[in-house]
Amino acid sequence: MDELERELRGLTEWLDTPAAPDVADRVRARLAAPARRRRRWRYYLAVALVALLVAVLPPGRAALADAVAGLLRFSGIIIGTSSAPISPTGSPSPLPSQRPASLHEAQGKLRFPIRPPTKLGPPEQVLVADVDGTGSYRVVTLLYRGGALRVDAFDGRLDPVFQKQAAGPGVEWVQLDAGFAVWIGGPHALAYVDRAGTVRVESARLAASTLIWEEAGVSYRLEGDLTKGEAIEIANSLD
Amino acid sequence: MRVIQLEVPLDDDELVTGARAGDLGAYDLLVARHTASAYRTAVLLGAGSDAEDVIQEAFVKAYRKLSRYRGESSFRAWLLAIVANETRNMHRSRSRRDGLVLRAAAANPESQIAEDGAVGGVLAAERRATLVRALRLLPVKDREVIVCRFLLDLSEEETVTMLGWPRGTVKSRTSRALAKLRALLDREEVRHG
Repeated sequence: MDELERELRGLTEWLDTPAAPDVADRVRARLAAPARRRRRWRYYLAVALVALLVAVLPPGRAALADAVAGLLRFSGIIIGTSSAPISPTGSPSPLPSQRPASLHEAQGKLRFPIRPPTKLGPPEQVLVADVDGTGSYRVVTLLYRGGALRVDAFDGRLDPVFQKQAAGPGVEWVQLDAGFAVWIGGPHALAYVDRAGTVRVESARLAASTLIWEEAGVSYRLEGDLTKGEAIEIANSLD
Repeated sequence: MRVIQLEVPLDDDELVTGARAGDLGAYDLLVARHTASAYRTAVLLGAGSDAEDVIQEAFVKAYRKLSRYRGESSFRAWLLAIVANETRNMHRSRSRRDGLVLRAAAANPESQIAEDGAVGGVLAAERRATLVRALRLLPVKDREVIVCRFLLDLSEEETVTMLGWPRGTVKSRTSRALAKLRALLDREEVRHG
């Protein structure tokens, strides 16, 4: 190292750099909305995790550690990346007490705003599901293309709602305007955890390609025969 | 010895994995760990009094972009690249000339005299002031590479990530920048000598 390089390295300590500020709190605050929700989730997740392990693990077989390591938690949805199937409970539809409603009526029965993607326009049909004692529904489903394309939305502050079973390599993180999302590029089993914590598996069909994301405290799941690019465009167009 | 070398990078990677899965606690730790070098980088690249805003913005952006970090470089170098970028954005949006900050950041020679208490000390302080003046005169890219390689003491590899240049460019730009700096210093010596 020559003299000048040594001098430059030595110069550092003579430069009057102010003490570094503590920005951790402010950074945390900026990421706040998801933070608050996630912290609350932890409690619920523990509950849901038990449900999932019961569902996923064939008794006395697969190692507990492997099953836990294969789980991805995101936006109220638990994605199991182990290959063990969810044992079906025999329920034909995973969503309890699901019924059709008009967009206006549905909005009155939900605790979060319905935001149809502008790329898709007004939905052909609206379904609400899983009602509580006060008449408030937990999940809203917007159907398009004769039901081949669907958007499920639910309050992300609630407990995990959907469980997905997908093989590891098909699951990836993608970037949206609002943050990041999980893309599942192939058919996979989908289960719904109802208010009582029961895992309800839709046995009739496998879910198609799905994009999962959250925006303003609401979790979304877009499912249909879509490419990753199309799904991202739709997700970026929430009303 | 081996274990210690391995532990440090692994630790960041584990935290990144956690943060990517939504664990903000893990991200807090990454923020705490890298605040000092992020801040220093912003200041030395010319963010001045906006350095605090710059790193705050950089940390928020880094979190949102975390899915794009593939671990091909150290997390620190990846983060510092975002800090450098934010610093440049700031200059662009306020159309301010960068590099002025080294002046504000330059040590005050008077305060060193008492400490050194000798003629040698005075000369060394003068030399440092000259060096800072010369640095300020360098073109932006030359100054950036000098700041990375010598003032921030980043490796060549980290500098590649941070500035987003090919390795060959980092090498050639470093030696060219040093040559320019030498020329500037010679001129100063002549003028003062």
